Amino acid sequence: MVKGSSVTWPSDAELFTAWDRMSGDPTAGGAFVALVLRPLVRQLAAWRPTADQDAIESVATDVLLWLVKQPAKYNPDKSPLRVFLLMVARRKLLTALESERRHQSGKIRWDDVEFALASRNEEENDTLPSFDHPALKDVVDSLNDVDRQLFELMRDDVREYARFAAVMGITGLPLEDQERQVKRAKDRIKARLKRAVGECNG
Amino acid sequence: MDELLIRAARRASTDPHFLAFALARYAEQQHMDESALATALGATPETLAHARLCRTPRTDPSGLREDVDRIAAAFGLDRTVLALAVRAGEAAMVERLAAGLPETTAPLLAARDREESGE
Repeated sequence: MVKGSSVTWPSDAELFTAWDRMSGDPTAGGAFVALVLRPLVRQLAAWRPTADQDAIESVATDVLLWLVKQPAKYNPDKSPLRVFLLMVARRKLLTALESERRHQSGKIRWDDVEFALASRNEEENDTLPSFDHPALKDVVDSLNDVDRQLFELMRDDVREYARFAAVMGITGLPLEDQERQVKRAKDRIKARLKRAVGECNG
Repeated sequence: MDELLIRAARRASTDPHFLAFALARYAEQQHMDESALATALGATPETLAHARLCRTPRTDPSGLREDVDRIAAAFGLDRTVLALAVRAGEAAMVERLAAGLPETTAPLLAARDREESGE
């Protein structure tokens, strides 16, 4: 075990063995994530104690899934795996925090408007502009990762709410709550798209 | 129960690289929630999380059989249900490719790859 900033990590040898297994063993991903996720989350939280816990967890998860998917992205000749993971995760967390800061500083009022529009006229929200409308590009580019995936499902005319729930990471909730949260998210995105087209036409 | 691991495994369900993708498509087809899927597979919440994070089995017949056997044995899963789930994932991928859709709806990962390769 290795201690860093009061966070206990598995030893470099354990980490290396878990990483090395992933190149040939289809079952190794879960063991790797189980070994590394918690110390990585704790280390990021110790590094940025005021950061949102969900953001930290998302970044740590995404970094580990990325490495599970492509173990060769890590070169053991360059640095210990722990150092590599922290370097990648810290950079991603800074990017995520900056993105969130920009979003909050400029978009809070917009979100209020979008929620109000979504709840005021549900029938109107069902009539969407073409997804190819040029005014939508900037809006789509500004969506966060989850909203962008939800948008892609809407664009592809996916109807099963379970697909949306999976993207939102809420499949563990009761079905009624899943449906409610999916509808709310879809309405919010629809309102955002409609507003962009309205501004373009107006 | 490792909730952190379970939440991480759920996030993998949009990426066809992971078995989570096939398991999610199978659960949709069968109108199963997470608990029902775990029961059908003979999994606990934690072994389901580990299964979700497995690499999707290879598609050639011998590779498929070998990988399904290996995953089922590693986590004590029902081999038949697992094989059906893998088929459901393959079918979903065929539909996706036929419709001209990208293989994955995980732009973060793709963007990260571009960054890492210095593009």
